[in-house]
Amino acid sequence: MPDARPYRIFVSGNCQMQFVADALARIYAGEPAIAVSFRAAHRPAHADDLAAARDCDVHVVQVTNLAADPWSALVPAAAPRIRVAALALPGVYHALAPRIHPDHTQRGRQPFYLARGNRMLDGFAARFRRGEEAAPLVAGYLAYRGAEIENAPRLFEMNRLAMRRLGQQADFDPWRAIEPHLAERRFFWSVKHPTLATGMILLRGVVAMLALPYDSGALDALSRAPEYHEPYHAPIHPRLAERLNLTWTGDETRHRFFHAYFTAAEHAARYIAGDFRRDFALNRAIRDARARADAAATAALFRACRAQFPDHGQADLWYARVLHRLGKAGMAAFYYRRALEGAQRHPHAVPHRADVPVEKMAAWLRQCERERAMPRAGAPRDLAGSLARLEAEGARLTARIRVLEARRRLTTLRASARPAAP
Amino acid sequence: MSDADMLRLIADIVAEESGARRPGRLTRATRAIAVPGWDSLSHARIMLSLEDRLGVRIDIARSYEFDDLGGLVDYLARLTRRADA
Repeated sequence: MPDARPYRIFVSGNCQMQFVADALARIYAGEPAIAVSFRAAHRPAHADDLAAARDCDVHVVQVTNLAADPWSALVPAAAPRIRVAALALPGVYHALAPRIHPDHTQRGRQPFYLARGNRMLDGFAARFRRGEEAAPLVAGYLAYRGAEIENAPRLFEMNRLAMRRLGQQADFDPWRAIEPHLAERRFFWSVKHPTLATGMILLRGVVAMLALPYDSGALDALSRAPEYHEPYHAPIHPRLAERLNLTWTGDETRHRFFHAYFTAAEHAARYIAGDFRRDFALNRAIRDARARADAAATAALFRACRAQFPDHGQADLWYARVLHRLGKAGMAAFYYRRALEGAQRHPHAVPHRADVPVEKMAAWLRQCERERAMPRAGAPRDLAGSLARLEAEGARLTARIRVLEARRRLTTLRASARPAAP
Repeated sequence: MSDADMLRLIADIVAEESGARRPGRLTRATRAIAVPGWDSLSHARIMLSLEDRLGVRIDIARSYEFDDLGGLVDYLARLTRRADA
């Protein structure tokens, strides 16, 4: 009798491996005999995590120069390992980058690995708060040529050597494809987050090592998909770019900051003198929804800002959770469905990624629909349905308004382009 | 420089380069990865800063091979002696 158990691929590591795992799930989606699971190396294990590690047939594991993957000890010794290098250029390009974190709604919060750059920028920001003018402070930052700039080539060299060492420990060496082009291409959006092209180098190596039949069309489609690690692209300090002869970045290069693109100077101006409350309003609503803060207040937060983000899977999902908690099952089902559809359509683009598994989302939606079907005491049976219909009508009208606005702009443009009457 | 001085210098540099709170007392038996803020991302910058402060040149590949800080301290001591000679 054939073995009904799927071939289980267990992937562990950091955000780079999360990309690899998501992509593997995509390219093996048509093959029910293959199952892919991922566990982050930095998160504590739950009971089902242990089973995923213990029962796997192959472990795609990340190797780093310093720490061992904590999942390795749980995977059976007999299971083959595919060792993948954890790529990084720690702190070389981003030594002086502002690192704005969406958890902090007013000012940026720096993670430890950008300590140097942020410390210097924090100094400028503190001077601004003490009453100095913003423009000279930003100019001071951009003209800075301190030890971080002076020492950058040596740090760069150290990192290259560290990555070469790592490439030799892995089962395939992605670094050899990267190193010759460091000056002319961007390979990392931030310290660890790779560009899609860099992620594809890792993915193709893993797929080759796995040697399983796969959908090559899905692999090609992935390489053309939206960037995976959005929405923050660390700006490169212009003097650092000069010192390292980086041709892919300069004073005019725009780097993504959530829903906008800024030059390094604009980033610095915002870090030193800016206020991020508006930028982070949606993040705050999502954070409050996840933390199960006051549901009515969180719903109001969503209503105030989510119209700016019409295709945001995370916003849809967590707004649905809040509405669900408020007993608005019809509206909740509408947003659950939208988040679910978005996640199935664009599993890799972060703006659409709802940050919980599709199965869980589907389960929440089913629960919500069951509740809608049940009459509630004191409430008319079809209230939830009416709300959902209203919500759908609202979405339809919004789309119609967009079309009409586009037509109006077009008409204005045509009128202005028409030659004047003789 | 004594072992204790070297360990204190390392603690200062880790805090400076990682932004983490200054680690408590480090000993020769402490493993780098157990020090808050010291990880594969901050490691190269910690080594660069040690180079700067001690006026030596560190073999980065070698720096990953020490089981504990004792190995690193001995290695740095050898480099500084060589630099002083």
